[in-house]
Amino acid sequence: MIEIDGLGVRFGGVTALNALTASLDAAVTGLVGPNGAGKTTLLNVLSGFITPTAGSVRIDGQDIGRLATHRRSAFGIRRTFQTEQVVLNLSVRDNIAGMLDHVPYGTSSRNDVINAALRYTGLSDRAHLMGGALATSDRRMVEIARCIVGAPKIIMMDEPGAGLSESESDFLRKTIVGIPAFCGAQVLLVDHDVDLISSTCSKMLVLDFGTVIAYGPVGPTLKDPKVRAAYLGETA
Amino acid sequence: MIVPNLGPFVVSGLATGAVYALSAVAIVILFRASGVVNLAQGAIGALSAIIAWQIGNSGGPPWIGWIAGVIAAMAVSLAYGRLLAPRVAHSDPVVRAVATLGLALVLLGVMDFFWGEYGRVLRLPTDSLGVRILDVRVTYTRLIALGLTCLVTVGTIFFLGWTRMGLAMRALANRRDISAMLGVPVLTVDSWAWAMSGLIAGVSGILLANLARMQPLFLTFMVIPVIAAAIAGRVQSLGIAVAGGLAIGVIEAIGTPFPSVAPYRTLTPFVFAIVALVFLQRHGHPLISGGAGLGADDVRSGAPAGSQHHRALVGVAAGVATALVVALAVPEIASSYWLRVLTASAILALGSLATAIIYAQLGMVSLCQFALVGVGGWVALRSWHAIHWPFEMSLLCGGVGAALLGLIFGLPALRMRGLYLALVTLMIAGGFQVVITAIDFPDGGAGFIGKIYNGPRQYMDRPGLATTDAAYFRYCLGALVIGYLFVLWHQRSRAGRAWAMIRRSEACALSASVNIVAYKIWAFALAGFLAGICGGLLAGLIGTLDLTSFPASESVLLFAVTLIGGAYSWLGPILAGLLLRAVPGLLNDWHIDGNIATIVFGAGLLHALITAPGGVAGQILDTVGRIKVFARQVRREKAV
Repeated sequence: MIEIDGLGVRFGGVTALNALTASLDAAVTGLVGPNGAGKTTLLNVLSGFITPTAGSVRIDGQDIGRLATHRRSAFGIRRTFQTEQVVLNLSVRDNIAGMLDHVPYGTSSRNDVINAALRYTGLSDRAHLMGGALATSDRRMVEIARCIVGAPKIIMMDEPGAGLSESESDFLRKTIVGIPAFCGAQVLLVDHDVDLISSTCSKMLVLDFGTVIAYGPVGPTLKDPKVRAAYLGETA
Repeated sequence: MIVPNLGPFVVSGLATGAVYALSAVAIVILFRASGVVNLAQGAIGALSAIIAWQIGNSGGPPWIGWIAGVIAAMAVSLAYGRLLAPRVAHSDPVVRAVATLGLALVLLGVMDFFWGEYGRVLRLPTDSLGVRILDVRVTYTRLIALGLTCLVTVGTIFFLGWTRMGLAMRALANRRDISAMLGVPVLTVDSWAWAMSGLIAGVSGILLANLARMQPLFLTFMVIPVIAAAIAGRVQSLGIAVAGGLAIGVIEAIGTPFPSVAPYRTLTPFVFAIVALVFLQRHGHPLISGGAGLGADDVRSGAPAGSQHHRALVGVAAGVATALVVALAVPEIASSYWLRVLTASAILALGSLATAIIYAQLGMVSLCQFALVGVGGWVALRSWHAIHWPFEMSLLCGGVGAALLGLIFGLPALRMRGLYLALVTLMIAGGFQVVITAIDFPDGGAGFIGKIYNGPRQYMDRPGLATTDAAYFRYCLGALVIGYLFVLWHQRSRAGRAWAMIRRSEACALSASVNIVAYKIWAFALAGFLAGICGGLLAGLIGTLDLTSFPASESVLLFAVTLIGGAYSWLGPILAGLLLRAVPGLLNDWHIDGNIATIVFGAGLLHALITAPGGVAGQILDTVGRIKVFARQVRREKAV
């Protein structure tokens, strides 16, 4: 459960997020909006990369404002990046191990945790390859594998579908949908691909100019005239 | 306390400061146009001065000498800017700056080769003419220095602000690619900037040789106070760079009449630059970004499949076996001279390993590692003289001492990376040189301080089990193997994974809950520890150390050979050790001037940065890989 209350972010004279309030409870929530709407800014606030100028965020009841950036992953806030951040000179296995070095992972053995993540993301046969030797789609999967180990609470994905082929997108879709069942985490998905959003998310949050313009189940929200005007460029 | 008349010192300082300022203007022009911090500026100036001296001294008209010197400086600068700089133009700012160190080394080697290392006097006719200002006689040379600085600064401001070429330069500095797309003639503009900076470097080289000292190494490293002045203005502001240069010159000079301060007065530029850098960084002016991900395309990234654990074990076994063979065979076949050379090579391989950790693991450039070698050696020596305990205890003490200082030297790295860090560590190396000269490092007397006034130097004993040269060679080889295993263990543990993530990007590391500060500190401390052990072993080799062995140029050289050897590969530091000691030894055997080595190192650094990021080791290992693949194909074809 992610509770955002009056969140504001300003960069000089630009208001990136303006008194944003939302309570996200769906297993997979889509976060959409035109360029500059504040989607990535919201992700960066949750990751701790940006300190908000106002408001607060609670995850599973805990205020994350005071949590140091480098402790958020251990707390359970995970993310993937728009430009993937797979470590090129570590093997796939070590990329995941690098995450497990710093986050708690319960009583199962480290190897079991890594192997389960590898199996889930379809990377078992490439576990020994260096990050630099992987194709784009595999790199996206390594990022996801890094997110689902340990005990994640929320997993934020920033345009994971960019640059993927049809079949790779299909696999990505299945992977995203299965994440809540796999590790119990809630997914927050930023993407411009309406197909990807509608096939994976149960609810969506639409932002424009840093504020919420619609929030609700995907189907009806997509039909909302305000959303169509802001996002799809149609007149309301 | 009687306050001495500071007038003459202020005037003298203003003149030297004016030359710093003049050079700083050249640094700023070039950086604003092409994004290169030219660390070879001092060497280019030195070349100009020495050519002027040569022509004047061979009976030629002095003015032809000055013009020839300045033209040579312009030509060298232009040639580098036209031929080599474009090859690294798209690299990180720190790579562009470090590449100019390659040019500096080449020029330094050439000057030392033809003219030798000793100092000379370059006289100008304006030295004997002067006027009295504030009761101080000011020579025309000093007035010319001041006047030129004002003229060039104003001229440059006008040039950049009002001319088409100036506009093109500013556009290029802002976004190189986009300016090129908009039709800015990149190469022409670049060439102008390099030629202008060469011209100013040539003039200021002649003035500085006259006002300070004419010696190639000295003039080459005069680039440090110049960079310090330029940094104060974020390598952007001409006005602040000029003010910074003048301030450094004056502060340096007014320390002269105070005996307690005088030996430390040349610390001014280093302290000035470090304070300026820290201030700018703290006040949110990310001057020169980048640096993260430096060298991320290392040779291992495309490594083929295979059981890593198994391969590592086989590698370690093979390495230890090779070391054993070398340890047994070399003392039997090498002459006593070569045994010492190879011992020094093995020791310096450890120093190179320390440099490689920071570059290859964290993607950061530290140009003060040889200072840490000196610290380790000093602590080891002094602790031995003070306590007379086993050699190993002194060695460990040296390692820990250097680790602590390495940690302090690494503190800027917590907030800085890329070019900032490289420059700040260069300042630290320069500052260290001043301090050890001022405190007579490391003196050869008894006890921990060990001041010696008259009488013979005292020597440290070698370890009990390695008193002979052969045994000490094996001892050092053993230390090198342990050093390697220590680093390998780190690489394969959580520290290595955390470093790899930090090098990828800080966002990547943070998103995996990596405590960036702790792991950076750990890397710097580890590198300091290894450098310290290297210093302790060097001290043990001869039983003492010499204060002339740890100048800033050695740190630069150590960094250069580490890159030439190959920072990413296990083979690299060994090659670097051999390059530093065995190559000069070989040249000595062949009766070739050792300065050739400096030229080769400079050229090698450029080569490594431009075409071979994996260094010689990378090229060797690639060739071995290709041969293996070829052999496998042949075997398969035979089987068919």
